[in-house]
Amino acid sequence: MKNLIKSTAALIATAGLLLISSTAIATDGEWPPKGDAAKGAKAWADNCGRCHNIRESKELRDDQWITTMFHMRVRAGLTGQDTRDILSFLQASNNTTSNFVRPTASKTTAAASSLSGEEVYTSTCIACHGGDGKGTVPGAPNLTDKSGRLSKSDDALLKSLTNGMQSPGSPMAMPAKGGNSALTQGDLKNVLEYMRTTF
Amino acid sequence: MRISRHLLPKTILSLALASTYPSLLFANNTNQEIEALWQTVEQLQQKIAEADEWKAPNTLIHLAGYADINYANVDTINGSESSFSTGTFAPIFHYQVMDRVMLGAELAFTLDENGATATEMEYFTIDYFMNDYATLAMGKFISPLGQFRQNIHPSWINKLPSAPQGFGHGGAAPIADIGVQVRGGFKIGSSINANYATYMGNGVAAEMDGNIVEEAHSPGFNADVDGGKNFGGRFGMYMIDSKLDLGLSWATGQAGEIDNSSGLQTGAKRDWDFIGTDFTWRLGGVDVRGEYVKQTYGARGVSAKADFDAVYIQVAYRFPSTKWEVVARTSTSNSPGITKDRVTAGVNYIFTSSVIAKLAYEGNDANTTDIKDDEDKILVQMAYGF
Repeated sequence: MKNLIKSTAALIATAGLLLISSTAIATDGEWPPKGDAAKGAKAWADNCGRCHNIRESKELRDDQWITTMFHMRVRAGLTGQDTRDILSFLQASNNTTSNFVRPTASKTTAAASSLSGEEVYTSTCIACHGGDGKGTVPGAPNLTDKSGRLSKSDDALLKSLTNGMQSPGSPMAMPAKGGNSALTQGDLKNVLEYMRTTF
Repeated sequence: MRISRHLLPKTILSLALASTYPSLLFANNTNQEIEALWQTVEQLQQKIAEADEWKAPNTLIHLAGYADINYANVDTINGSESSFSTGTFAPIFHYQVMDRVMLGAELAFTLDENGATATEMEYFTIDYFMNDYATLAMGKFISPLGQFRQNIHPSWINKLPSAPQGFGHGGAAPIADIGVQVRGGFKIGSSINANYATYMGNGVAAEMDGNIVEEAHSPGFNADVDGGKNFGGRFGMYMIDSKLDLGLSWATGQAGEIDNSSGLQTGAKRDWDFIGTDFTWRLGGVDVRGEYVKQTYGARGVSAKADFDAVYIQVAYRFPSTKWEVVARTSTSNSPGITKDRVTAGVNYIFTSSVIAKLAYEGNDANTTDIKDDEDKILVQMAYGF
């Protein structure tokens, strides 16, 4: 009886403390709150390969990724912020709006860029391609290989950067704009130039 | 210069036409642009309408899980025997209410040798997301002690067709428990992700052969067989830059006794303790992981203390820019008077990140009288995670 009382009291006290410490997460508006897709790209590359092969964004729909990421939050011990960041990255990577081509695109607005190539690389590309360009995840090409990926033409590489691509034999695809849909054509040109001069 | 009365209107008309001609051309181009834009807008509207269908409501229902199909060629004392078999079909159901609550349940369907279907509830929890750093889970959960059982055992994740010695059912690594669990993660600086899981549950049982603890039993008892709650957990640190994951597990409590011949609880109980440590390290295509676990069932009267421990080390290498992977693992388990060794090596073809074909050789050696413990095998498995 004494044991029962002690166990029950401990259970109630623990649950009470935990509930008191809980904070509101859900909002009346959109849920879950948007995360940072660029940080999510890094968190995705850092965390998801700890136990299993990294799954690419197109394997699931945006709504399926929500539940999947909350499941993984519990399984992998992710913080809520990492969960939202990775979710935003995966959902942004599923974005197919780059398939639409503006009929008479204004070159000045399409090419506008506020980021340097290095800024784009270190915020979006580095998660998978690494600081040395040799790749940190399976399937990421070695950008320092002189006869490798960067030996292609600017036009071909910009097309791949814009629309995403999957290398033959690679288990995972690079999402459109590296999963960062906010990047402009100018940003992509800058980062391509940065990669050519750096690696 | 004099312009005649007849010529003046013609001149004005000609000048007007001449001045408007470029405008007409421009208008024609603009109309084409507008038409093209409208076509784009209509495409976008169609896409948005389709996307809206999947826009998240306040509740989400999701089905995940895994399954595997197997072939085994076993080297027995009577020669080689081979069989096809279905492994486990394990659907996982998720019901989520916003970012507050999620119900998760995994069922495992298997066939026995006679074709009869068995069903087990692997886990069933209601998870309450308290804040960014803690989730309260209630129900039946996979044991948070160690790494293999809670994260690696699904066939699409496990890089080999079988489990290491001591990490399957009845082994040194606890399988499941029923109770409450708090788990989550937090940052230590910018380069370390810490994760933790603490729990309190009904606990484990000692399967007794007379006065000898024959087997560690932790299926997740739906009643407390010893009357005292077990508690413990795991703390892990993931060093992001070096891709090194380290974990420590600890638990304590009591274990009820179950008679192995009748399957009934005897009412006796003894102390129970658990310690474990695990690691994962990745570098490029190399993935190294290992784990050590130990359960201790304390002495009771004339019945001696019993230790169950197991250890494995696994190395995998994924060939760059290919779908091929090679894996090797060595594992050993010890229980009172029994030592079992297993060496497994294989090659995997990764169709997609979650569809994997495995071919492996498994060598077994044990100091038991059961010849099955020494049988070597060639294993083929098709694993599918969904």
